[in-house]
Amino acid sequence: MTDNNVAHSLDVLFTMCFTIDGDLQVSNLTSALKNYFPEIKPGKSLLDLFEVQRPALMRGNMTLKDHLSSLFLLVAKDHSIALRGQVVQLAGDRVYRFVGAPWLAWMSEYKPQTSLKINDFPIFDSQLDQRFHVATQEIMVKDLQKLTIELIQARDAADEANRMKTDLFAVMSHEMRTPLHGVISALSLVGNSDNEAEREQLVDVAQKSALGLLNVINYALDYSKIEAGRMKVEYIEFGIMDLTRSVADMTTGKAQEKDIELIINVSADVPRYFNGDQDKLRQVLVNLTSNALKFTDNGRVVVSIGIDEPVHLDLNAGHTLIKFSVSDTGCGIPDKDLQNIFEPFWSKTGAANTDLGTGLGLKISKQLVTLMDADILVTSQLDVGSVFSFTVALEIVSRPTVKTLQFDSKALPNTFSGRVMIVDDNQTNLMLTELILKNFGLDVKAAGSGQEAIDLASSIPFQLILMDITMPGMNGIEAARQINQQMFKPPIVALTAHVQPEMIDDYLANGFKGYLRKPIENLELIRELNLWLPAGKNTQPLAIEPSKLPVINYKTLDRLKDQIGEINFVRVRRLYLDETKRRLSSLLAAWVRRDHDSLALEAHTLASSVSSFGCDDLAWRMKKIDKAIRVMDMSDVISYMKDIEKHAKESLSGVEAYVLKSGST
Amino acid sequence: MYGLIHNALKNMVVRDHGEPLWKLILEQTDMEADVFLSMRQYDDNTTLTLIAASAQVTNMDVEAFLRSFGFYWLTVFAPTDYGALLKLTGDDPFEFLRNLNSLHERISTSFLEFRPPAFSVKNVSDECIELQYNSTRKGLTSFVEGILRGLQTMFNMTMVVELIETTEVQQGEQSRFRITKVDQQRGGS
Repeated sequence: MTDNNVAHSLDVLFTMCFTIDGDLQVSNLTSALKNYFPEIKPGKSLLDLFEVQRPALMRGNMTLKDHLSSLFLLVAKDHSIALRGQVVQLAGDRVYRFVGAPWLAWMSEYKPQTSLKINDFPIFDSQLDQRFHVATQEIMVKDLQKLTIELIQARDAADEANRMKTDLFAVMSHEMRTPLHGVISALSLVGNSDNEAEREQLVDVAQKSALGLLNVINYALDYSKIEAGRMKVEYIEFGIMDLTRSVADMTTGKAQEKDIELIINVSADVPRYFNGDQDKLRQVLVNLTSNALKFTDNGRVVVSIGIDEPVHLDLNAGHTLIKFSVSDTGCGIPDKDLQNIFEPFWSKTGAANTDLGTGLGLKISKQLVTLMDADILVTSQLDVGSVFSFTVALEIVSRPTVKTLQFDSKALPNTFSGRVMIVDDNQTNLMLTELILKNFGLDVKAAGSGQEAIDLASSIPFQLILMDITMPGMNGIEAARQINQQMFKPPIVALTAHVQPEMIDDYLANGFKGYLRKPIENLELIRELNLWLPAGKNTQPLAIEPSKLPVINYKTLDRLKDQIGEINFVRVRRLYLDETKRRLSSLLAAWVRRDHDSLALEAHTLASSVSSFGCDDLAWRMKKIDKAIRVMDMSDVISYMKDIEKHAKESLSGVEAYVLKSGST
Repeated sequence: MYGLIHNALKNMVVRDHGEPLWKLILEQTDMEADVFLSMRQYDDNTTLTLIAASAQVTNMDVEAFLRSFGFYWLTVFAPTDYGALLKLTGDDPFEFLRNLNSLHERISTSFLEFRPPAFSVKNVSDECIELQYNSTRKGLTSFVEGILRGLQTMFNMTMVVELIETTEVQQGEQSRFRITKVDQQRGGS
């Protein structure tokens, strides 16, 4: 092969090539090189044209032959280009050819404006790959730096949350200890007192302390619910006067105790009825009013409700802005503290608060108002007083379509019959609950552990089990699971302080039929007992109208079968039974969760669907439940929910029996 | 696809719609975390699910969203870290497209699982080319269309980009585009 042929082959492989003879004269440049280095002229010396950076020894003593295995780094004397490559020998001792590519690192650093192209680099040249790799490595480093920052932020947030939890725990412990001490002291003194009046007074102290303790716990639960983002705005139609009346009911006592005038003023132009979250408004107003009363020693506290002027124009149709404000003639708040008062556990001393009413109350109020898309504003002057206010957009309604929640225990039985097991590892709770249940006329057996409950349930039939969840050894969930595997499977109701929605779902998923919050409230207990147990012999009959309708209306079924034909009837019947069972499960789950909206929806739907299959009695009951919820008559809801599962089973069995009897399968 | 794409998607959504919307997208796609390592290969389904959810949450149809994403990829995200390499790929849109395969080949040496599309360019005239896009993935033609529109911004040039046809093949998708440079003086008169 001739030198020219060899050179041609090399030029196919490399982009930047030229020939060098024994006198280091340069010739035969490739066109790509000429493009970037037009000054290069054939016949000039390599050392005139380039500064040879590598190999180092080449600079002074040019012996190309000695450097055939070396990397050549050449920089044009006019700095127009830098090359990276090697020298190969073409023939004899006299002719060499430089083969290579642009020196990318040098060009990027010193000649970034030179527009090199991807095709200026031989396909196997690794410089571009390296460049790409370096860029990618830089991205990886950025990824890591970003992740590190996120991890540090997450760690700081976790530390802060942990510190807050510790603070909460410390304050809670303190706040619980105070009323608990009242309960224990008063009750221990009751035993030593022979004076009836004094005993009554001590019991009153114990009761008030216990209610105070319950209040503390409710605050903590609300706080935790808000922090976890589980608190949502619930719209209900309400009367503004009902709202103010309930605020007055809950705060007047404190005002009278301190001899402070409490004025509640609703402007005449404020509409009377709204659709909004009445409970949250009440809670915030009660918190702010209680707080005002606490820091006011004389003078007055004024709760004002009036119309506010909209500052923006995107108010929804039918809505108006209502401004709520609570002003007092109390000690006032220094300017420097105004920004801190909504921090949890903040107190005027700057230390952890000694009064949970202000420790969490203002924080909770602010968060509740934020949920309603508003903010609490504060103005204050030392020794003059403070004003807390907030403005919410409320939908005006002509009049409330539902009554305020009625929960009249008089309409419900006050005794029940049956055998009930109470399971709790705390002997005091066990004894107290046993006494309460016995007062309802029940035969009560007590079990002090999960295992004891299982043994007892396997030896005696029960109509109901109230099961504590948190117990040492075997917990309530495991005990319930094992009891549900036995022959007798009485309904089991969880008895617990953990009533967050996800916990309730967990209880239901583990075979519980309901739950009762600790400490047990009487009406809640009656609600649950009424669901599972027959009323006692000497109790008043239920104040509900008994059903006069047949379980199955056969004429409806005959008509339906004629209308759609035998085959379709069988097919629809299967769908009907499946759908009804599914909806019944949803209805019962909604009842257990106290989700009255879903309960009404399911009852309404079932009333219609079961009616079309001739289940007149069940349809009637569903309509009654739907109506009772709509008018918020909880006593009626409780009464009609009683034995609803049993009535539903009778109705569905009736449909099955009709199908078998008529030969439709 | 590589985490690089996911990070680009996140950056674009956060830039245009804010962090809360990105969190919503993660919630809707059941993604526990949005930490994507650029050099890590993720299942294609992860990418496509994120894209579909992003389109839904931003009230765009998927094709329009992909076009925006392709445009963002070429004009904002890629130049940030790979600007030098993009510059090497060409001085004008046609040269860039002719060298795109070479660029992808280079990338393949570092991204070992990289499955780039292949492009072929046919000259129609000095001012017009026909580009064929061949991919082993389906449904990404609109992303390419976004990139082609991005070339106008990158090279400060007006072009007409027409999608002539898209054909689903057994393993992937083929699309043909006609790209015509517009004489700005004439186009503006």
